[in-house]
Formats: sequence, structure tokens, C-alpha cells
Amino acid sequence: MNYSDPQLIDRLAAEYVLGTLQGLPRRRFERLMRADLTVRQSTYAWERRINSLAARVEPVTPPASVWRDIEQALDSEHNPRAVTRTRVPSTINRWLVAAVAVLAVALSVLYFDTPVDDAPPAYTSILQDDDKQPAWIVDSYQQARRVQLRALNAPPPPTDRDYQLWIVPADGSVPVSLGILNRDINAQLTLNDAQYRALATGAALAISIEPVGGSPTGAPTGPIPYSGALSGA
Amino acid sequence: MNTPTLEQLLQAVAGKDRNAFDALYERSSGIVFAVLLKILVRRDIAEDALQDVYVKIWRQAASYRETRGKALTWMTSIARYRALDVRRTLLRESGLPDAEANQLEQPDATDSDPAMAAEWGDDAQRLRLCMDELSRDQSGSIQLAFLRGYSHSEVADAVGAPIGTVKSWIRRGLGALKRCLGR
Repeated sequence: MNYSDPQLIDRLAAEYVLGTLQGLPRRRFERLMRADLTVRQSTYAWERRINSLAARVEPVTPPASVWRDIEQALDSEHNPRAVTRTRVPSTINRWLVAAVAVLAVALSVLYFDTPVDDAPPAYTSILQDDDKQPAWIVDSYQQARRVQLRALNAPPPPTDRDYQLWIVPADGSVPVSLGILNRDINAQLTLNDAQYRALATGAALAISIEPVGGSPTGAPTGPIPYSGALSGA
Repeated sequence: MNTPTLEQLLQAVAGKDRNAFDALYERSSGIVFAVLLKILVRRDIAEDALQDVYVKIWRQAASYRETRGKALTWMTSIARYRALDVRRTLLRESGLPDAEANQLEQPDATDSDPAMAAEWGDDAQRLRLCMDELSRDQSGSIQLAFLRGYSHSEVADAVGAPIGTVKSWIRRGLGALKRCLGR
């Protein structure tokens, strides 16, 4: 598609705001928005045009529990964000329940496809995004020395970037790369000896955004949009 | 003292004023929750989304600009984009519950709460006049997509028309809205 055509951009912006631009085209358009001011301006103009359609919906008073959860989330903002989380905020418990249900399905599919993994995963980690929403499920199979990722709610990386998975050691030393993720959402990585040892002593997993082919320095260089504690299954 | 506008409240929230945030929530959460509920159908999911949306509003209030429209325009954008993403994920993972079918029977409110109409100012009124100029197919399809987060094919199923027809209703309807609102 020719993204320099202003009429096309305007049409895409309209359908982006309306919501009928979906899937990959939606993600592509979001990347375009981040990169291009005129694309953002078209989009904002459409938001100003049609968002008051929301005035057609009868307001519904939310339950008081939501406000309490919001206040709690704001209170905890004062604490610095740590990669390792000892406590999962109660407000995302429902999400976790859903995520675990998805995981159960994912596992059953996995067993069906790959009978070699008779053993359950040694670790199952849920990596959260900056909004503390579960974004990835990571299963670590120690015996088979491999890690299986499943994207729940994570877009593909920006076009000229790769996602890279890291183990954050418990002792605070430099993270150990577990590899570059496929652009495909369900990546599978095989571990070498060093990675295997790091997995056994790691505290957390994190995904960073790196130049294509991975970090040039051997340590994370880009933003770390996803992270979560390594927890035994 | 005059009641502050939502824009003034948002400005105070940008300065991390918790009382202003409380007031902003008090005044806007009914409409935001209704928008989320309409798209997500499930109450529990919509409540989670509402929390996400207001935490985001708290964090990003400083980035609000007039170019994003009224405060409510901006908050509606945050809410709808979040709801659309969650809805896609739900459809992919598990599907939406049968409430979807029930929801079809609920008519969309044609006249909003007067207090809410005031929050939207002229925007809603001008848009309403322009929506009225569209064909019923065009305005109906646009409303299904906007209010329920339907894809082209879901709108096509709901109205019983071929998807290509629905796509052109929506495209032409949006074009006509742009012309009408630009007058």
C-alpha cells in the first residue's frame, strides 16, 4: 500500500477510529501513527468527528469496587516498578484465571503436537505489559531444554526491530539472552548449557525490543515492554 | 465556585491532583463504562477494562492536547481502543458470551442523558445532524461498528448484507460525515 497517499491515510484513519480496521492492518497503522505526525493528525481529526457517537449510549454507573481498585493501583504507582513481582495485584486475578485457562488449552495442544514433552513445564511465567496486563505465557521445559512462548496480547515488534527474551538472574548480574523470538507469535527457543543454568537460577523473564538480529552488546539495549517473575508450575 | 469543566479537571490530573481525578471519574466513568460494556458485553471484563482505562488516563493526562478534542473525546479514544483490542483477543481465545445476542435486542439510546449531552457540548449535536443525513444503512453500519466494536463481517452478519456492500456503506458514510461536519 502507498502510505504517502493522503486520501488513503485519511480512509485508514477513519476506519482505525471506527474500529473496522483490524488485525495486522490495525497494528501496521499504529506503527505508522507513531512514526508520522500527519497520520496522527488524521486520526485525531476522526476522533474529534465521531467519538461523540458515544453520547448515544446510556451511561452505566460502574460498581464501587472498580474505583477502589483504581485507587489501589495509583497508590502502588509510587513504588518503583520491579522486574520481579512477589505479589500479583488482586485486580488482575480474573485475567490470570483467564490466562491459566488459555494456558491449559495451549498445553493440551502442545502435548498433542509434541509427545516428546511428557514432563510438565518446570516453570510457567506470565509476562505483563506496562499496563500490567498478561501479554505472554512462557513455559520453560527444563528436561527438554526449551522455552515455549505464547503471545496473549502482544503486537508484533516494530518492523525494524526484534523481540529478545532474557533471563534476569536472581543475583542481579547481567541478564542472559535466551534468544530472538520469531515474528510469529508462538516462538520456541532451545537452550544451550549456559542458558539452561541461568534458567535454573533466574528470578525473572523479560522481553526487550532490539535491533533486528538481537542486542549488539549481549545485554538488553532497548525498551523492556514485558516482564514477569519465573515461577515454578 | 463554578463547576470545573472536564478539560480543567484533566489538566489538574496532569499535575497529579487526586481530588481532581476523583471528580473526573465521578463525572465521566458512567459514559466510559457504558462504552466499554457495549463493546465487551461481559461485565467482569468491562470492569477490568475500566480500571485499565482510568489508570491510563491518570498516567497520560499530561499528554492530553486540544487537538485530541474534548476531554471526553480523548477518554473515549483510550477506552474504545482498549476495548477493541480486548474484544479481538476474547473472540480469538474464547468467544464472547451469549449476552451478545441479548444485547442486539436492546435499542441504542437515541437521546443521551442531558448531563452527558452537556459534557459533549456541540459535538454530539452536530454529529447527530450529520448522521441523520446518511442513509439508514450507512448510519446503522457505522453505529454497529462504533458502539459494539463490530468488524465489517460482523456488521454484515448483523444486518444481513454482503460484506462488500457493508464496506462501501461505511466508507461512503464516513466520507459524507466528514463533508457534512466540515461545512
